[in-house]
Amino acid sequence: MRFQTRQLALFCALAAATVGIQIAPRPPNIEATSLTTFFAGVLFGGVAGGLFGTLVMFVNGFLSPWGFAGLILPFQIVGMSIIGVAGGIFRRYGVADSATRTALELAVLGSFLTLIYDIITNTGVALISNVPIVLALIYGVVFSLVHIVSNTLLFGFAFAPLMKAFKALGELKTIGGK
Amino acid sequence: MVASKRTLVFAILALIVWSVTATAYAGYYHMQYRQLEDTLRAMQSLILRVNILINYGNGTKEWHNATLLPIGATVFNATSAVAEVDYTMWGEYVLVNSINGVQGTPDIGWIWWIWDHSSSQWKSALEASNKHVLVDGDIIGWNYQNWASTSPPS
Repeated sequence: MRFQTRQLALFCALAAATVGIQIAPRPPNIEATSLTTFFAGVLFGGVAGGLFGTLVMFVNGFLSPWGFAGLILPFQIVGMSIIGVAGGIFRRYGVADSATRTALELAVLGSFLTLIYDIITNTGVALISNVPIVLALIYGVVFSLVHIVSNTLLFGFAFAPLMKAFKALGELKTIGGK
Repeated sequence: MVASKRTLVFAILALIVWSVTATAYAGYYHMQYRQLEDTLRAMQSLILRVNILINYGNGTKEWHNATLLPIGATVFNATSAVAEVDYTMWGEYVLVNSINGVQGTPDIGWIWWIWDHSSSQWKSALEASNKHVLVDGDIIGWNYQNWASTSPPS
């Protein structure tokens, strides 16, 4: 992973914008960080995407409007890093040929990655609170549903315009050769 | 990635999300149901169910069956729970003046009765309605009748 100055500036600007959105007042479990982290993975590759997720969640852990993350922070970092890495993997396989299919695929990916993130963070809650993991997952399911549904919609509807905007900027030439 | 394989991968991912969230939500629903069951069980030891008859004496009768009341509730509490009651305090005793707007007169008024399960007949009240503490399963009847009459609600 080797950044050019322009890419590094873009990485930092994207990270700053993501943190800004993340720490702005918002309903619980509705966030754009997963999408931008995934997109950072698509733009800069899996390793950078993972680092992006780590950086954003680390800062968010201290500045979140919901308070200091505490012991849950490492689990949030791991969860978000996986989303960044997934963006890098997605980049390899590229987007589908039709816009509808791309939206559907991104919606599925958004829901799946959010589910993984929630399983990881709920596992963290279970370990910290010393409750069975299954119980923590069950009790967190209402929040998870909100999180999954919102990210499904966000990935499905916002990824393509984001991709278009960065292509126009000249930062995203091809995804998986397309 | 070949198109069909790619479709399969995304279909599997979608199925995983659906199955995990559906299972977790079913578990959540089950837990909520169990908690409500426990609460209801705990509440059942704190409440009693009584049947209340209001006989207006003109052929109109109102039954308020399975009225839920807290433990320690009196006949007066039960009546107030199901009807508009106007009353006067005589020291520590309640005298019911009217029920649901039907006012007593010097000749006719509201008298309460209680069903005796052992003899299967109405028994007249021997105390003020705010002094008789109900037990679960009691049946009480308010009769709009002549003060001198001894006919129970029918």
